Amino acid sequence: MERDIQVRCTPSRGQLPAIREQQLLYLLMELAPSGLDESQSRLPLDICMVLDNSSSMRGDRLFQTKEAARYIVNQLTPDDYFCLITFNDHATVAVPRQSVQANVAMREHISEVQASGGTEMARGMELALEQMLRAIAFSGVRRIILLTDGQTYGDENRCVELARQAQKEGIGLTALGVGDEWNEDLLATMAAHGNSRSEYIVNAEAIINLFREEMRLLQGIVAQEMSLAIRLSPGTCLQGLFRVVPEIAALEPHEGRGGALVVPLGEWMGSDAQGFLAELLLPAMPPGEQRLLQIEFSYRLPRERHPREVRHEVRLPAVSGLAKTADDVPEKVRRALEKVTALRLQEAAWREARRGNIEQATRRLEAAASRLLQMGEQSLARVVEQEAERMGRTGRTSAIGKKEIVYGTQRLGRHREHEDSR
Amino acid sequence: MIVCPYCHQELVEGTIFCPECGASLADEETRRYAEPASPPPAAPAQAAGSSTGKTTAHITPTQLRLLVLNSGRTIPCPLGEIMLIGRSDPSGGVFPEIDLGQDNGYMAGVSRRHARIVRRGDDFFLEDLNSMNGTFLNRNKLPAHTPVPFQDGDEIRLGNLVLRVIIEEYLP
Repeated sequence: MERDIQVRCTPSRGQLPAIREQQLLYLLMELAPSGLDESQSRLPLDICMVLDNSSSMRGDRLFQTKEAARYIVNQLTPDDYFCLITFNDHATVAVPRQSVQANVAMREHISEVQASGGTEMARGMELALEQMLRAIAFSGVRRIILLTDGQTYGDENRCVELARQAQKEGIGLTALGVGDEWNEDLLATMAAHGNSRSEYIVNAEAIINLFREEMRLLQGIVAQEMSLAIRLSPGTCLQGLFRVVPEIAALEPHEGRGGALVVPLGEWMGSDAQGFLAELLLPAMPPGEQRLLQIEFSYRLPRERHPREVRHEVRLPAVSGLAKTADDVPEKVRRALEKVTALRLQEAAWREARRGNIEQATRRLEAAASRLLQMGEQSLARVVEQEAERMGRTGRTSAIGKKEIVYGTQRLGRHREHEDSR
Repeated sequence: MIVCPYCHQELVEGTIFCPECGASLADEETRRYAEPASPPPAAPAQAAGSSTGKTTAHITPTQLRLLVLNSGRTIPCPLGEIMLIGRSDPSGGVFPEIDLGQDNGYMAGVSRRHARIVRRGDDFFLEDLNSMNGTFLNRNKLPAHTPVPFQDGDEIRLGNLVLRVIIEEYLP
């Protein structure tokens, strides 16, 4: 079986009602690797760790972080590159970017990292980028792993700018927050890109597990330079685009060549399936076959020079006299959309809270809790419910509660309803 | 345009979940409830003005009512997926679907957001919302935030207010 990527598109309805008003259609796009040989997909890695060593990291947090850094170095081979930046009041290149020949020396440098001072994240990111951009013609996987436990003050915009610059260069970002003091809005914004992600680490003991998972993903690359382009037929609008597997996240397409809406997706890490959901607003439909849109996934398979493409045209018949409300929504589309609804409700709640509309924010959180309860997500629903109550009473959520909600919702994408489609 | 049966928001055709309140609009159950001429037959107070004389046998498979033993009032429960039980407090923005204010709920120790009933198909669950005076099902105190299934004939106690569950099947 030739190795490649399979794409399957499932619309929320198999037939559209031919009506004179606008209607919504959802399109689930599922990607699965085929004929993939795991051993072939290990590509050279270029990893830059950017670690917060401010005084709040003292003790178990720093100890576990150094353990995790040593674990990463142990997993690397002489084909890989590694560098380590630490930041507190200033940033330091603890290990300059180099190929992993002498990992004993690297491990020693890691052990020497001490915690003190404040949190100046932008300087750390600047040094990371400076080191990473030294690479010439590196064809493997490039990634910055940022770990912080605190707020950075005054340089948030610069941090986002640097993250975007890295992403533009094809360097992915994994932004990790430990404990409950860090700024989830900042890390989430920095990671709001197709080839980046942010994660919440509840306590120091969980740090190593997250780094193990990161290495597992980095060591099995299905495709590189992935991007999704959507070409809409006249009158059709893309109202929303979301990643739904393995995480729930909103994606922001930009206008590309020929009017297509394009989202760069970076590397496909790990061999788990990927899923995307588009929300389309369709114009009035006369009866007959309707050409709605064309999707195009482009990617490069590991060790191949030329990019490949999978195209899919979505056409559906519009039929007169069809019930306006869809009664045959495929279960997997419904489930994906249910998770997206939970995401949208909590995002609306944070927006309302920022505007000072506490009552609206409370209602949105309550609605998100109800939706989660219907989905059988009892524990997350409970957190949302408690924070809704707190929001109504005090006008704000707890720092830890908000992180649990934001990252708990993101993780809904890992719950495996999509396995049947593999 | 379609209208969300729960929050009455106007929505575009084809909407599956209401973006305002998160309610599902594509469930077979929900759609049946959303039909305009389907007042629940066991809800005399609400049905009186809007009855069409049409049988509801095909429309409402299961109807939940709560008989408040303290006051003798029967409360026809609305057809939502989630129903808050408590006391309404307009200034605090609390409007429970099952409002026990008129049953002397305040004196009986019913919290504004006391408990809730979650409906999944024909199954009902009761969940205490960390109320001050507790929620009891058949005299057993429920742990907070843990939905427990209940059936026809069960006894629910909120503070000192006792309710009898009436679940009726309507077969054609």
